[in-house]
Amino acid sequence: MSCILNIENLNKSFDGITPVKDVSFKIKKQSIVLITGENGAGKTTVFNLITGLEKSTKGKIIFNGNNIETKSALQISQLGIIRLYQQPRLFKNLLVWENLVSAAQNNIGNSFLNLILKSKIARQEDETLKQKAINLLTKFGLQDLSNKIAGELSYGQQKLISFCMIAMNGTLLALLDEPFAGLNPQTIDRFSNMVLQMQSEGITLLIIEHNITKALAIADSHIEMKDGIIKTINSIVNV
Amino acid sequence: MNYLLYILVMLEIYTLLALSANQKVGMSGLLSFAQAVFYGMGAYVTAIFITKFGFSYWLALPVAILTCVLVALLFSFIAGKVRELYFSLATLALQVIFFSIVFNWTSITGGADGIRKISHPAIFGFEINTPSSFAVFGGFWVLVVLLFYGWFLKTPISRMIKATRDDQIAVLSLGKNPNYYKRISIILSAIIAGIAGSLYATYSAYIDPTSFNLDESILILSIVLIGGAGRIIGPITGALIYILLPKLLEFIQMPDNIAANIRMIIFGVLLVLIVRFKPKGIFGKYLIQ
Repeated sequence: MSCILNIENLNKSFDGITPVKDVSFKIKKQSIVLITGENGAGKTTVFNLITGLEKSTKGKIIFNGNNIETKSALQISQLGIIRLYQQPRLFKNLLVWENLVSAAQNNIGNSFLNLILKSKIARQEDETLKQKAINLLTKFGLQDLSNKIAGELSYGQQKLISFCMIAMNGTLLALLDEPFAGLNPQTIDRFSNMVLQMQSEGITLLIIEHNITKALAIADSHIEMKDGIIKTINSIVNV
Repeated sequence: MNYLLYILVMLEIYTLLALSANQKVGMSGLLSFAQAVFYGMGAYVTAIFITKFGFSYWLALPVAILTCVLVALLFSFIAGKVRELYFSLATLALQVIFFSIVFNWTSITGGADGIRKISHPAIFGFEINTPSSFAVFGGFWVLVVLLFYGWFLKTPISRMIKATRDDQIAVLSLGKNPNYYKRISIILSAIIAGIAGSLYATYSAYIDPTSFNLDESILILSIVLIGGAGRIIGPITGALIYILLPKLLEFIQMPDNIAANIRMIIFGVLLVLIVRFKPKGIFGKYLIQ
């Protein structure tokens, strides 16, 4: 299977500190890769560099054949890299289905000019997206939350909904930052199933997680980091 | 009767102003201290083009709106990228700059003396120069804006504006540009305030800088805060309270000279009580931060 993300000799340093040193790895399309390491190992900095929130001092990040090193965070997310933060980032005053529709890419009604010039198409597309959002929620057993205000959901529900937003976005690579943190065992299992389902639909996932046992159960490979460098890279065969 | 119609026109003007402020503050979460800038810009551009260039209201209004759009666009490119407190500080700076310009550029704005003899609008040869016709005309503009919101609030872009208000980093990470949605909101707000300014200039036939200073911006913001931000009913309620409060004082036969001061004190106390006990405002959906 071809490679979707290729990181070569990635370095990041500031104020005499080097949180990421010569990090290199490749991720195959439609795989689940787990990154672990103690606090300060450089995991989150790697995520920040991939998503363009920080710029590297040296190295290359090739995503789907594009060098994304010089691109802005917005351009990178438009290319198909999306990040799920440890704390769920929902639009808390909107309804759940509105959150999902807002996550969809290429919604022509999101442009004011389109809204005026192609109002009928925009309205139809919005209806289609709403239906898609409800179908997605139904698929993950979350349809009862559809008309609830996102900010009023429990922490676990908010995490599940923010994950649905990734599915709605049509992304190629999802970076999940401690997705299991703060979740009870049942919700972790539910979340794991959603991750596997998304993988089967073609999405590649890169996960930072401290709950190694649960994360290893779904991962295809495991990268262990320590003091800014990669200690080991292992392929995992899950039975 | 004329006095009641005057109250109605002022209610219409302040409803428009509160709706414009709500677009920025309630729908987008952009705390602005410059709402009187676009109100004043609408009023001044209309007044200048009518009195100096002989334009009719219907020709001066598009010029006023276009000016508001261009200034809002420029401002959104400069300040739209900064967040929260920094945006508010930028609006404060805009307010100070605007006031300085209209106060000191006497050859164009008349400075402290203002602009007089601004002619009234006319429709098909019928001049809108009576209190009742102005009340209808003001009502027409409020209706136009409310109809606009009836459509706009159901659109995807309105949803994205509110999404940007809730979490602009999340919007960015979904591959959408939060600055675009903030820009749209700032421009819409400026257009509505410009219409209110244009209406005010032609209604009062005289404008001066004191109607468009920082106090006025804070007053407009307070109206939204009291009524509640993020919903259409909120700013309308806030405007009703602000305009009808003096009538209540008249009802208890308080002398005019005392009532004017008492009105602001009551309004201020109400504001403090709202902030303390109902921070989202009477009908608010969104907490101004």
